[in-house]
Amino acid sequence: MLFGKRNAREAFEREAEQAFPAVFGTALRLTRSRDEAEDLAQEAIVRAYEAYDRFDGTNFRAWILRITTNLYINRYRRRQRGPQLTSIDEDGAIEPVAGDGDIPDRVLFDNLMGSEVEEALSLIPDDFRLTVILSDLEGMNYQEIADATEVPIGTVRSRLARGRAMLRKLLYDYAQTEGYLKEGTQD
Amino acid sequence: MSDWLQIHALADNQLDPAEKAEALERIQNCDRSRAELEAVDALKTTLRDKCATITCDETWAKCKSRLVEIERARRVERVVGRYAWAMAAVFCFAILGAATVNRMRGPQVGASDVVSYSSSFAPLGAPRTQSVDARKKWVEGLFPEKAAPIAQPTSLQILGGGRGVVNGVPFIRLDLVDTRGTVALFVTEQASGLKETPTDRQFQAVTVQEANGLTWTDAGVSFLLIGNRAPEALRPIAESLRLSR
Repeated sequence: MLFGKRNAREAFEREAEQAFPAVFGTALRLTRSRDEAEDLAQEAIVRAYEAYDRFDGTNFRAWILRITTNLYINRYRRRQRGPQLTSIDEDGAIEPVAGDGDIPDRVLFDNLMGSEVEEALSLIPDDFRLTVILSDLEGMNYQEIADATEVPIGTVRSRLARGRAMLRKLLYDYAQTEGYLKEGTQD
Repeated sequence: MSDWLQIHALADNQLDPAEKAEALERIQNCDRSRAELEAVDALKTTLRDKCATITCDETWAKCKSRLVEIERARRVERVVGRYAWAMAAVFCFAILGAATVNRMRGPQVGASDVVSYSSSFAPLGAPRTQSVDARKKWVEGLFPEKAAPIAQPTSLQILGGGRGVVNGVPFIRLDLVDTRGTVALFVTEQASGLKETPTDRQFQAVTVQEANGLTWTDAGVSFLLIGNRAPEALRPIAESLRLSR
């Protein structure tokens, strides 16, 4: 029996160690504070370990990211201070991501630094940022994101589209500010 | 609106085959849709390529140590949970055993308590004369059911005494005097009434309130002799005390 428990812990550790960079990265991008990210990631690991016997064995990474996201939503966001940017009307019209410029985004964004992309990501309102992170950085599908954030799939799709549009605009502004994009080429 | 969402879903590979075919056909015929798909793809690629994996070895080490702690706590809980009844039974038996031993042994008090409380003992007076017979009769009168300590030689005289109970243990105090001064003899008919008492008439030296003393037992009676003299000087007195009957 004891050996069984030890094996369970070792199995959990193996899977958790592989998924941990995703957990910590998501926590850091959500909280935007290393200390809070450490707390959140540790708490997520502990919660996951305590619930490991209820894990269905299919997708550990998605499962633990779901725990992390739920923890963030339930604990961290409640005590978040300052202006809430999540009041953006989610039912508003979906704008296209693509701009009207001549330079393809692939070329334009290629000159951006990682820190600039991270900075732009951090400026997106919470719910949109969370959806973009889970989809584009952690590779979760719509259903997994819907489960993790406890919203309908339709909301996931609209948040993703709007989040990407906001991010694209921010990155474009960066590119313009930093001179990656010569003035006027967009017009 | 839904068209744009469909292009995002196409970029994310979240369409079923029929929807995918429809979306692909639309893209082929619409420049804006094609541009949108390219923009979404470019954004996804940018995010994936530019957002580096964050190092977190230290945090992971902390998590591992927390898991070890949790496992340790669980192990203890498992043992306690599994053997709770057995442990409760052991504790009950231990408590019952200790209670039984205490009851059999009776209450005990320390020599210092006896001396401290003796000032409040009820006075017993003194024998009418210091003749051997008078002293013997007087002392035997104090111990109607058990043997009484009779001093030999007769040079030890009785000045008086007292009777009292210290923490549930009844004591009689005899104030004795010889050529070197006074001593006090405390007697209880409970063999284990004194904490410091050895068994089988061996003497044990004690110090009470800066005075020396000796304790011993004899035939189920406990003695405490206190005096302002060395234990070696108290010993002849202790040895001279014989039980009557």
